Amino acid sequence: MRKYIYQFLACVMLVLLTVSLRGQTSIVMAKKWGGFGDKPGEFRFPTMIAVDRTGDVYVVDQHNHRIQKFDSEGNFLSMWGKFGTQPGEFNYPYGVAVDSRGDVYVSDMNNNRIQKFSPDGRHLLTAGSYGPGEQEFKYPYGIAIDADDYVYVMDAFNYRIKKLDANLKFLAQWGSQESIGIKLYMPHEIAVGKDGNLLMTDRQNHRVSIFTKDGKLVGRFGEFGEGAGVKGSQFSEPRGVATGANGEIFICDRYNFRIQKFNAQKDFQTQWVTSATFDDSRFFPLGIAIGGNGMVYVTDHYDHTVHIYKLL
Amino acid sequence: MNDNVKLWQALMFACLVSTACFFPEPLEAQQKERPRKCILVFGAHADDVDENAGGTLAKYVSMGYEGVYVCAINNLDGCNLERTPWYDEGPNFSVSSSPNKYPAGALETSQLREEEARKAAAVYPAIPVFLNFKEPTFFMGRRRVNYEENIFNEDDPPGHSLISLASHLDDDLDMVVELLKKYKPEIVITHTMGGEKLDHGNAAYLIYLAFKKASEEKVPLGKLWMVVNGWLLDAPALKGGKRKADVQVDVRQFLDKKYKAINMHISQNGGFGRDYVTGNKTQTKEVIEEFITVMDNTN
Repeated sequence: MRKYIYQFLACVMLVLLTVSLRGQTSIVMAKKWGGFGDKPGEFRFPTMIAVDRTGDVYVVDQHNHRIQKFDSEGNFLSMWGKFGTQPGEFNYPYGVAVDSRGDVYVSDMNNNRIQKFSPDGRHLLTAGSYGPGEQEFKYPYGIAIDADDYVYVMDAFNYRIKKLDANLKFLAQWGSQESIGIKLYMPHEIAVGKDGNLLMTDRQNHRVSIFTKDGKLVGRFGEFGEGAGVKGSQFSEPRGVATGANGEIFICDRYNFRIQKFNAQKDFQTQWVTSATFDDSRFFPLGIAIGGNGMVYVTDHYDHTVHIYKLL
Repeated sequence: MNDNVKLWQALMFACLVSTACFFPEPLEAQQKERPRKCILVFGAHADDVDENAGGTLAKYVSMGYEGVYVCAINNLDGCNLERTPWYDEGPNFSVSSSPNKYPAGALETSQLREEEARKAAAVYPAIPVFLNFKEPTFFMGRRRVNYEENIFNEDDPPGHSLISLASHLDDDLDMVVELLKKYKPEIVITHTMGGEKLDHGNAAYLIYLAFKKASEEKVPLGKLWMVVNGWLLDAPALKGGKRKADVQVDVRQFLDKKYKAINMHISQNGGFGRDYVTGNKTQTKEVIEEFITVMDNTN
């Protein structure tokens, strides 16, 4: 009984906390599901999330080495994958993206490859192995797909973005530690903006970088800020990034435990916290995706849950 | 006459075969199975090979030895996004004004340190080998998670069992024995047994057991050296005159390579290596790397 009371109080707190600080937009958590485990609908350290054109949701269930598929309301539909190196198996997958046909692309991180699946999880293609070459990867992290179904992969320890076609054939690559402006870690998350440019959350510099598809830096926004009094456009280790139908940009702001929303011109619009408990070892928003209905889907990596938020 | 010659030839051949069976080949002859002599340096963590014996490894590789660079532990702990993990005054990795360190996750830490170790091994050059034992701690957010906590098991970081348990598991021991069988090193260098860090001491104990087991199985191995540091040479031991080094390798011609390899571990020293750690003062004693011979099959 006490458990349900705590859950009810937590929901009330979340509703209160998810009201925009600007007062112009209200954000309500519509649903939260998951929890630690390996049963259908449970997660072990979920990472990235994607929504297809029909509204179905794909979640990378990283430490279960599988992909789970849900409808737009979070009802479990199917899942596939297990630990291994065979086609259709995974070794700590990280990123997921869906093309215009509904096919699903997964960055199979510790297998150093990209796998492509049909919407029902049937394995279609695999590309990549460990190495520095054009058809090789060193730990692929984030993955994004543009309107023409070109695939962009964060090839993290080659410090490059790789561009592939829908058959996973290498087309181009660009990037270096210098051109991206980092000293140690390649950023992990990537999204394609409505204008076709690539957005990367540069977590070690606490900002967002914008590149053209051929790697020219065209803009940055954000600065470091954390804790009480933190302002919009300030970040503390930004992670997941997603774009909406009108070019809005959504950023997971890890150590502020919040999502920030910007318009297409990169002006800060609103924010909301995703955790009622400020516990930096237990909660943080990692992956984010926007549904066709405007709903915002967020994975909480350490809470093993997925949240749906409605912007009212 | 011809029959007698054939008989004598057959007898001689039989004698040779039986002699070979009763008297196994000396170590040197068995080593000829491999085209080159081999030196294998066995480190617990990604930069321990360079720190412990980088000069010696470089020297022997320059003499034609095949170098093998072993990282026993799948490093899960020890990287930060903002600055070097162990030195607050160290170089920054970012352009932000954040006062915080941001420990990287276990997966990405192990990936980064493995990449750094590959680059360091290429300096000598040596063959990098990763045994993929788990580290007993890692960071979850800003909190250090230890092996005995439930959350450690929930996370289930990649890798084999902890090296601290490895000496009790034949599978893990056999994995190291297989490594020795593969390379048949004339020289093996590792940490001091029971040494300055638990992981280091356990790594040393593991390869000590493996070296012993492989030797009993007639794998042609040479000598096992352990570095001269750690508690075996603490003040009381020194005062008693115990455990003095019996191997001294002059590495002054190879310090550049050693430091270049150390500098590859950017996540640990910002790319400044020894210059950074020592405040740009040369440690004169580093021109000699000292070891204790723990096992010697060449006698």
